[in-house]
Amino acid sequence: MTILSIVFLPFAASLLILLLSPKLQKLDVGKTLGAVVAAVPLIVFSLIISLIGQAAHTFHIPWVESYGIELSFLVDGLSILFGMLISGIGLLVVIYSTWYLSDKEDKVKFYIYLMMFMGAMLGVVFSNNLIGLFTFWELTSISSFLLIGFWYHKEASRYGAMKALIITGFGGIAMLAGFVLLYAITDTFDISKILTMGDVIRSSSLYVPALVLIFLGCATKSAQFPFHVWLPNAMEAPTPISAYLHSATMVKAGLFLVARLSPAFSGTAFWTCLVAGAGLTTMLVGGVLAIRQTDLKGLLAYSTISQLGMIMAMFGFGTQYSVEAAIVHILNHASFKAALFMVVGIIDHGCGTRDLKYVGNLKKDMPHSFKIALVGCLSMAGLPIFGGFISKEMFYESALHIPFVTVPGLIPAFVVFASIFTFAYSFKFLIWGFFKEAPGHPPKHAHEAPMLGWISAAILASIAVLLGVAPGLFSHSILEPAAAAVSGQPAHLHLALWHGVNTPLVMSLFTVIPGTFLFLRLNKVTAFQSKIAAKLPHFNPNFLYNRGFLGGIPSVARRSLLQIQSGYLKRYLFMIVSFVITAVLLFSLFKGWTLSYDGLTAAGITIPQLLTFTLIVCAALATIRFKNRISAILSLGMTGFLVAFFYVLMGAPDLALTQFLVEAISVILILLVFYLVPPYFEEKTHKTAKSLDVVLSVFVGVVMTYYMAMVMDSHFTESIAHYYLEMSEKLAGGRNVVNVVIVDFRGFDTMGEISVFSIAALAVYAMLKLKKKPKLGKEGDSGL
Amino acid sequence: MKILLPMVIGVLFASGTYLILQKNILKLVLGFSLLGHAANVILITSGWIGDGQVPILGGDARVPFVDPIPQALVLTAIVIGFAATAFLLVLALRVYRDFHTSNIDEVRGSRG
Amino acid sequence: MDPILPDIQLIAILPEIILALLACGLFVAESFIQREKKEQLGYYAIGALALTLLSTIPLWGKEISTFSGMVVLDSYALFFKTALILISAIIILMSFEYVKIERINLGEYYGVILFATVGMMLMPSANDLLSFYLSLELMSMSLYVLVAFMRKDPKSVESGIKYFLTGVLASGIILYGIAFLYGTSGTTNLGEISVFIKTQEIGSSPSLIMAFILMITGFGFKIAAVPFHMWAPDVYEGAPTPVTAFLSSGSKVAAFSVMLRVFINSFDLNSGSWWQILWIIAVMTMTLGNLVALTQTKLKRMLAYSSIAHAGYLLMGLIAASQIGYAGIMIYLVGYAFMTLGAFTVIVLLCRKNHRGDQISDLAGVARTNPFVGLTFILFALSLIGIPPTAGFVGKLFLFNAAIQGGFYWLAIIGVLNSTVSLYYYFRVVRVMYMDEPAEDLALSFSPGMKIALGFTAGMTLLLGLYPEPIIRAAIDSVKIFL
Repeated sequence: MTILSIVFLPFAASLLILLLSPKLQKLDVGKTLGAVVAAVPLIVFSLIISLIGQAAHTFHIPWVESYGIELSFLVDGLSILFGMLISGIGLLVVIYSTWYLSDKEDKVKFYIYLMMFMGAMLGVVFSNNLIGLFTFWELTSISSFLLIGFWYHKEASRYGAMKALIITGFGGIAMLAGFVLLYAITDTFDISKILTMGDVIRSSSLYVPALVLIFLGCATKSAQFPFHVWLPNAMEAPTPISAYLHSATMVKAGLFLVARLSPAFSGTAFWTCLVAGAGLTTMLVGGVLAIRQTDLKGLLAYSTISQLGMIMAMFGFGTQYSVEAAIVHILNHASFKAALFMVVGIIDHGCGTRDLKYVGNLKKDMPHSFKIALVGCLSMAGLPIFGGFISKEMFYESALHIPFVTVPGLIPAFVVFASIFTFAYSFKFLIWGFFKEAPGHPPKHAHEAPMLGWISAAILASIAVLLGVAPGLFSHSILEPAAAAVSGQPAHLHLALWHGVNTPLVMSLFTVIPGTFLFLRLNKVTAFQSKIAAKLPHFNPNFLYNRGFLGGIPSVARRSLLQIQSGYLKRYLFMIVSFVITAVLLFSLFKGWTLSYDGLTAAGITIPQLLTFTLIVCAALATIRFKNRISAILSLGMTGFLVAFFYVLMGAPDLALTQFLVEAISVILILLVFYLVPPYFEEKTHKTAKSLDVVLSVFVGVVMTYYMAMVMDSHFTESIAHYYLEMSEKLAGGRNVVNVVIVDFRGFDTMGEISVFSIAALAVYAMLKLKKKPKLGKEGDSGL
Repeated sequence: MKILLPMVIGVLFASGTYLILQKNILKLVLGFSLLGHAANVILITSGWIGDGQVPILGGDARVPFVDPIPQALVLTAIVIGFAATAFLLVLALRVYRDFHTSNIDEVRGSRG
Repeated sequence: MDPILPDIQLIAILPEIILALLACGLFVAESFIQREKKEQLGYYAIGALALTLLSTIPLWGKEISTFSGMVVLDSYALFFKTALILISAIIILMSFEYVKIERINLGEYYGVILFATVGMMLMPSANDLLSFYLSLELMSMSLYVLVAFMRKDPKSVESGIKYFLTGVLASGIILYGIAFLYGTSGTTNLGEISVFIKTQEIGSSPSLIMAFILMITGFGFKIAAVPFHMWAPDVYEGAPTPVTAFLSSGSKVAAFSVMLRVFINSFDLNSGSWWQILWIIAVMTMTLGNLVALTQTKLKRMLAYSSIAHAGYLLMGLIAASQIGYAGIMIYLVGYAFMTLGAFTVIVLLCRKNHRGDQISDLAGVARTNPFVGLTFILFALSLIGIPPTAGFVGKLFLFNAAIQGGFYWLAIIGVLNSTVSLYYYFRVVRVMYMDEPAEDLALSFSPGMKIALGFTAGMTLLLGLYPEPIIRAAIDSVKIFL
């Protein structure tokens, strides 16, 4: 039950605020609301703490039983680690937001969305059922959408919100398809069962498509290249949101899922290639782009992308050691990155801008923020004595031993190269922000935030320090169970700052020295980058999204649409008829039917038949040819009467009678109506259009002739008619079988007929009743 | 018979199709009527067995009867066809009132 | 000797008879009611539907075949009948306010809706080509009338004539199809046709193929599948909004219900190459529907294209031709009906005097002034995309799973890509609702009827997502008749 309250408490809080919102909006809630809301993550956090040390267990609520879909939860090391991150940082973010949000902001809405997100995120990490996980997953996307668009008056917010939703939503749906494939392999959606079926999954023919589709979900959510483009735009959200969703928790959902499904999927060359490849590329791209940024939040956004890539790569390596390294780094990254985001929020508030062109040398004006940023940046750069150093060393160590990679030294060299950029952007944040004088001046004179503003960041920074100097505090209770859950084997971490002089330490040296060099030459490098970017404006996934998805597809669709959906009824009819004819012709070609000409003689025809046929043909053609309306209508009537005569020849006198009557009334009606409507003379139709019409009509005629000839040639089995012929007199006492069939055996026909007929009569009446002349269009009005 | 009847049906289809592709609403009315005839003739033909007897009991027992079921179908189709024609005519009147034309191509407020 | 009458069990069509009689009663009542009190006719119509729904209760669990096998009553038919009665009731609820604003003649309007419902309810029961054709015509004729019902609006006439002419052509094509099917098998009874097709092995005879092409064309029109969809956007735009909702829900549900019975019996879908044609149509339908919906600025047209796209998803079940596939179609149809009706209810809310309110931009800021409307629309959007915990998800899960189990991987992947596209255009509307500035006079035309309609559709969308087990069981049991 604890687990239920963990997941549903935030939802309940969200719902409660929503229900109370009309009242809350009237009251001046001020900071009280934040204080009350803070209780939720606090309770959740303590509940999760109480779960530590318990053996992995699950909890079920049935949902779609026929598919084994249920709301079930799994408590193990991995979910506890993430749960603590979500609730712990959530608590700090709520505290931070009470300072950050001014009284003008719509706090009620903010906390509704925030609590909804927290519940969804907890749902993701505790889910034991893929469909449940997917539900919560999409819910995080939606709450992220609403939170990015929190300042909806800014166009950039709306653009960013939509972009994040589209990209992560696309990944989510692809992931669902992957889950369904996984279901096809394992016949279950239950995660804990799937995790035990690794061998079955890896040997299945659906392994690769399932993995690729699921990984698409993870890669979009965790902003892996080339799907990273949404994350920088998501920085339009209020800073507490950026700190919470877009650095510490939501973007780690992709990493979480990769970790969660590792036991089922990892251990193949394809896995390493896909996951580590994506991770390493992202790490480099993020780092290279981060050093360019002058907007501090943009810098952190790209640095987040790079760091996420690094963690993804570690999961991709797939060794016991690399998984442990990844777990340690998840915790480290959450602590220093969230702290740095909060510092940026403080700078933004204090200076009115967060652009390095205008802010700098804040060391004296913002003493607390400076200390926090110092810890955060050094940890991010991977320098001792902070947590970041330990996990970076582990990263290097794991890069040395990767399965399936045959070129020695390639990966270690690559990771060192990518880390140079990490070092450089960390120092850019620190030195440019707090030591160097900026070229411009900020709109406001810089000042430090009150304690409520920096306390959360300070707590996170102290955790970053603790992770360096006393990692043992976390390793046994939290990190080891988490790593064990991912790798499937018991984990034993020996975290320490000093392991003696070993290869990773040398690699670190090779990072720090070129990194310092790069940092010193930063202006030149970024100028060079801008030059390249200016030369290759299309060489960018953003371009693909803006011009391709938002611009290109709709405009192509629009243009072809106006051709198809022209509004001309004629073209609609033309399309339907030509589809039928094309389909029939194609089928005939493929099947290669030929007529057996034996039966197809004119033999057996009588003179009245021949006469009727000839006259029908003449009358039908006359209907087309006559320019005069009355003659055309009369030739139609003629055709109808001749068809009636044909019925007589075919042994259907009842039909003939009906046809005669109906045709007579029809002709009179048509004449009457077109007496009311003045004649319309078709102006010359376009020649090609006309010849197209003729060609299609002739085709229709020929194909129908051909098929009728074939049908008449073949014989079907005996009709059921003999039943009616026998029973007609016995059961119904009638001799005219057609009448008996209609009235007695199948009275249903008649009932339906009457209904259709009365509806039509009603329609005619309703339409004619509208005597009042309808309003004319604008042209008509102006004429008066 | 086996070659002539299909040809008659073909002509009915061709002329009906041609007419429904025209702009004048009157021609559409005529076209749909012709296509209706074509459908009925096909239905009747599918019950054709050569020289059959009208399905009214009491005649010469040796001559086979014509299949009565298609006849029942065609009866229904004729009646429904008539209802449709009547409704189409009223619609044509409405189009003329609202759009002041009997050119169907001018009735295209919705597109895209 | 008294002639023995053939054994006709009228109870099989008891609900239809009751509804048809009550609809006639409505016409009679209309002429006796004063002009001011005509609104009461709406309540009368609701009452009539409630009574009809009650009359289905004694029929549950019965298996009746009557009128010489032309009409059957089984759990499959009852499943759809119940759904169609509910759909019709929602349409009437959302019409209360609309007919007042648009000054539509009430008596005929409600009466024709009830007649259309009778036609729709007969369709899933039709077990004979003739009864199928008749019930289809009864529905279509009523819908032609409803579409052209708005007095003041030339657009309504335009949609009327477009719908009617394309519809008549489609009906004619179905009739040709019937002729060829009869010509092949010598019977109009679907059960006997099925036996004939399976025993004679004439899967590729010319007349059967002709029948298939003609039938798929006619049905393609009724369910608005590409390339027979062209009428749909134009007609949806011009018709009165509740009628548009009726077209995209009731007419589609009914058409699919009878399409399943006709196609499964008349063509052995598991054999031969029928699936190739269906595959092409399904892919074209979902892709075109979704891509074009991206470009629309009018809400009604956007929903028209999205409704086209949904027909594409539904065809996946027919292609898979398995128990899950058929059951998936049933489940998806019901869920789809509720979610699409909900979305249309939101459009009706926007309609005010002298203001059509059918642009996406008309929704600007609605979620901020009416949080409840905003939330329900998000729910409908999620369901239309197919995200849990909604009805649309459960249906899509069945359809996609059917495609995958049938080995149609590409079809499933194309379906997934399409769902992503739909994510964009539905959430573009959500964005407008949540993040754009509201117009000055944002008074929604809320009435008790609208509240019930919106609440009920939202409730069903959620309920079918949260607790789908009963409907799944009903669907899986019902489709056993086809296996």
